[in-house]
Amino acid sequence: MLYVRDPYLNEMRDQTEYHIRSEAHKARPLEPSKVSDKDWGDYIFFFANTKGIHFERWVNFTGHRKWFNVIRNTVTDEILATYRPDEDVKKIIADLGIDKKDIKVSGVLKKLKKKSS
Amino acid sequence: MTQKNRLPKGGRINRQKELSFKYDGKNYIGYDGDTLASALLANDVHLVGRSFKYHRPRGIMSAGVEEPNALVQLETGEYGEPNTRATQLELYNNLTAKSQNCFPSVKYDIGAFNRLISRFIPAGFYYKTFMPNMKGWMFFEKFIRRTAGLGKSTELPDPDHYARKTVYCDVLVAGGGPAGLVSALNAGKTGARVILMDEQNEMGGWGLTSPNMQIDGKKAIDWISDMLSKIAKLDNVQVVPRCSVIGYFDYNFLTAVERVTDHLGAGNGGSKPRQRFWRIRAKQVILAQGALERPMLFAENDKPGVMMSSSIRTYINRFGVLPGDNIVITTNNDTAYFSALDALNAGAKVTIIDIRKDLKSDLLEKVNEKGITVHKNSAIVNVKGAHRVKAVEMMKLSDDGKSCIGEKREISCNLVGMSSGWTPTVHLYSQARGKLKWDEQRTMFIPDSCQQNVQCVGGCNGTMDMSDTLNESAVSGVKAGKLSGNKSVSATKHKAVSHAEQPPRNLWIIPGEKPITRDRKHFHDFQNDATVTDILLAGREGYLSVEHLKRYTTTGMATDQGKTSNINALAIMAEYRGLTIPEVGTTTFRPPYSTTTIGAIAGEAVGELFEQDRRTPMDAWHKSHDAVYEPVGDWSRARYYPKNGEDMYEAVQRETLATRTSVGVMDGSTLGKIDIRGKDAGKFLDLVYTNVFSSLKSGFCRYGLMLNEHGMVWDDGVTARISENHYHMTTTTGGAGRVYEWLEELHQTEWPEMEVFITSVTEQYAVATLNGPNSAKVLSKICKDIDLDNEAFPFMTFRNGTISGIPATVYRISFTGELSYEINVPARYGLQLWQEIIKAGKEYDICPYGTETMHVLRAEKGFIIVGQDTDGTLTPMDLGMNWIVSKKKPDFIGKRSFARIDTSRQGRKQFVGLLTDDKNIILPEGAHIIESKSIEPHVNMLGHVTSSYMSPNCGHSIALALIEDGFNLKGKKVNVATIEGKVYSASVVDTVFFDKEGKRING
Repeated sequence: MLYVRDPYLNEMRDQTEYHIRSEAHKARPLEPSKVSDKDWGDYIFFFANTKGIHFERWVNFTGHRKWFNVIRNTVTDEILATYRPDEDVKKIIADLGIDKKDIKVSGVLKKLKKKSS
Repeated sequence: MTQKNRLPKGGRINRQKELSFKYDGKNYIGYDGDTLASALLANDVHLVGRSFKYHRPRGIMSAGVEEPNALVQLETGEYGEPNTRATQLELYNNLTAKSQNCFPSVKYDIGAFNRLISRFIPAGFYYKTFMPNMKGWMFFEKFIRRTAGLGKSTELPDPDHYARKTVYCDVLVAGGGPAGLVSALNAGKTGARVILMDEQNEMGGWGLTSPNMQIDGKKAIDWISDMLSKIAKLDNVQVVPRCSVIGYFDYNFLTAVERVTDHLGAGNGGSKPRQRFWRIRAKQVILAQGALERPMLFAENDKPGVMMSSSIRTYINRFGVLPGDNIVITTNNDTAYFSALDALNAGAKVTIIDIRKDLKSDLLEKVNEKGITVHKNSAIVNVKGAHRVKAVEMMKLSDDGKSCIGEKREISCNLVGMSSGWTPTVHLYSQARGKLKWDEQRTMFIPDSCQQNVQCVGGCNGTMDMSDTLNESAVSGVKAGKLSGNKSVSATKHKAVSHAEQPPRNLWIIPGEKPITRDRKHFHDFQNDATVTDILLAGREGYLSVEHLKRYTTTGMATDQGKTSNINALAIMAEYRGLTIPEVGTTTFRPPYSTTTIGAIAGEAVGELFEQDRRTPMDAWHKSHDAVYEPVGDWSRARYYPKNGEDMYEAVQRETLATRTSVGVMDGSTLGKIDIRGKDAGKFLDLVYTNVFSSLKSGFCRYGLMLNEHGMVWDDGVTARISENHYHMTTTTGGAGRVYEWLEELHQTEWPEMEVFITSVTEQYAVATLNGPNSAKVLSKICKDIDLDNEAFPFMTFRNGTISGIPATVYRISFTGELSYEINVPARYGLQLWQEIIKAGKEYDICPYGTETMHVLRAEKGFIIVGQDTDGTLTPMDLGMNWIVSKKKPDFIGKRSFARIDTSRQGRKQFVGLLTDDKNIILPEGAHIIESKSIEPHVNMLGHVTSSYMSPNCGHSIALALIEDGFNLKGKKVNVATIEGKVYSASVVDTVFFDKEGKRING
């Protein structure tokens, strides 16, 4: 069972207090009607599904019900960082010293108009 | 009654306290402190069971958790437990046990017929024989299953209770032998919160087996009590005996089972739990589980009376039992010599057969001095005796150790001790994803590296020398304490009398008189009856990978999980393939380390506590009116209220008719309710519903559909606008939790700039729904401050008022098409509200109805139930609900997907009604709708029936279905095939069966 630092409580909590949803940083297009069929298909059907460093969304569902992001190595299950949506992910990646090459997120992201979340 | 093999003194037993017990129907006496195995051996009982496949007589082989043979059926009736290891079962007064897998008795066993044909039933026999002819297997299976097997599980409810406990600590030490004690003491001295667990009733581990070993100038046994009293002075160290650490998971999360009252005897636990399941999160873990001795693979090595050499030593020193007085010890290493010396001191005649060519050990001199004969470069080629060892036959080994040479010599004996080296207990380390490395010289896998915060010490780390063990444990203890955030102290220093080990000789297969394939049986896995030739056969047939080997021969798959057999099996396969052992690899160690009762894992989560059972505030009334319940999500909801012996069909017909004729009332409290506030609440709802909510006027309600981003319907419900910035949303009963979480996710991650506050209020309100032409009449009797006139209080609005003094919000919404009032009151008034309604409705014969009648009533009107009529592949258009999809809104969740090619194509499955030609036929839900009249393959499937009932209001059975291109099939006939092979003809019709004009909504 994973053990996670809750970025809102700033303390270690058991995995059983959380639900894990989808990939993080996959922003919904601001104007979906202007997105091509292919890009929309990529957005709703395709995920990074990384072997290695994975960005994912967690929620504490037994307590404060806040959503936050987790960087987890899917090979070792090691949690590298947890952070609130309003934190600067670029800085967190830099602080962790993760090589940009090792970060695989859904390719479509770059094509879609992104928001900061 | 004499205990023939009990030594006059010694052992950790209380000779003042005699315990009587019954084994296989005979009465015996043992002492407090015995295990069942030691007490049986004291009474000279070696034969305890029949083997799994060949039904060979088997005896007690070890003194601990690794025991493959001595599995017994403990107690009977509700306390009956199969496969209990006699070597770990603490003796209690009046214990009753019997041997397993034998009939009529362990001495005369019919199943032993398998031994005669054993040459013809090697590994893979059943598979090869029955795969081409499965019918044969169907017939023979029950007979084969009866002869192959372990004990019998009781089918009665478990009378015991179990507990669960979750703890957090700085340092967990698994194993309470000398290494564990030193680790715990040193970690404790740093101030760390330490838990020390050991599976035995008393701490001391290997020290209890070798009590005279000198540690720090003391006898081991005195040194142990010294250590324990030092540890007892530390308040921050908790010592838990009888507790096996069985699982090691991510982030130092471990599980353990403590046998709290098992040793008191069945039913004697009083108010204490039988076992306690520990869930432990430790900052640091120290594994000090020691090592297990390996059996030697000579011919007939499974006869009763052949034991692990170290266990002979354990029985002598710990239990004061000498299992045999004429002992042959066969070994490839030095440790067995200590067993020989202890046995000699206890009064036995001892002979040693050492497979090593030259003996240089100082121990040789020591045993020679005592008059023990040592045969070097020799091996056992046969063991004589049926139910007990009578003699061994010995020959010299050839130079390469591949065959036996020279004269065969017989040595009479009644006990054989064997040792083929040691296997560090790395199970938990492997579970923790620790990597192992192979130590060729000592032939053992030892811990290498692990991503988790864990250290191994002592035998478990491959450290066999006692001084080294103690000093490395001390350093590890301090390190663990410090790393978990405590102060640094200096590690304790220790010195034990050491002995320079002569390296072992590695002969994985001890040759016999004949080449191995034609020789007597050499067992390597005793519990699953797997032999050396089975491994070689697996190799010849191409099952080379260890995972295939394991499944083909069943090596390591029994309740002992190959604790004594795995390394031997890997080594033989490596030799066969000409590879090194690490190249062959190991199988995966999985929890639990030792067998665990399901009761302990379940803990208190049994019976009523098995699962959350949510009940509404009106539940007392339902219960006292004989409601039949159905589970909906976590809820138990009243399904129907049978009267005068009605079955469900009859009750539902009555309730359905009564509601439309006069008035019915249903408990709708389980409906999901979500309170949504904030200045952007309307904007937010416009994005999560297909229709517009920002334009809804205060005081009005609107039905809405929720889609996922794929455009598929996944929840529905009515939402009311309470005031400008305040909405009250309702969801399906089952969907309440996930809708709530989804709304929060969207708000927090996609639209955090919106000012919206979302709160679940499902349990804050109790809801009673009045339906039927007389509902206004009933309500007006108890509600005086709301004008119920249709003009003053129109459909799809709500009003606040009081009902018999209870503050209430009444919604004029309807799931039945009748004049309806959904009355919401604070949950604590729910029961009172219900009683008031029933009382007021009496003159109109008000009919309480449950979920089943609700289903029929809504189906008569063609209203969907999300999850029953939908399956996550349907758009609102597929449901014929285009009217609810806003054309004006530029965006809402799911909208973009409508334009996808597959979502917008013609001929998708669509939601329609079905009327059978014969009005009395109720189609089974789930029945396939097919093109042809015949069900001969291949038929085209067009869809399926989603809902189907007898409608007393229509006087006809009705059904709802999903059919390809269904809208265009209206007016046409389709065929519906049932699982019984019948085909019914039905017409495709509109989904509204009753009151098509919708006139009844206003009474």
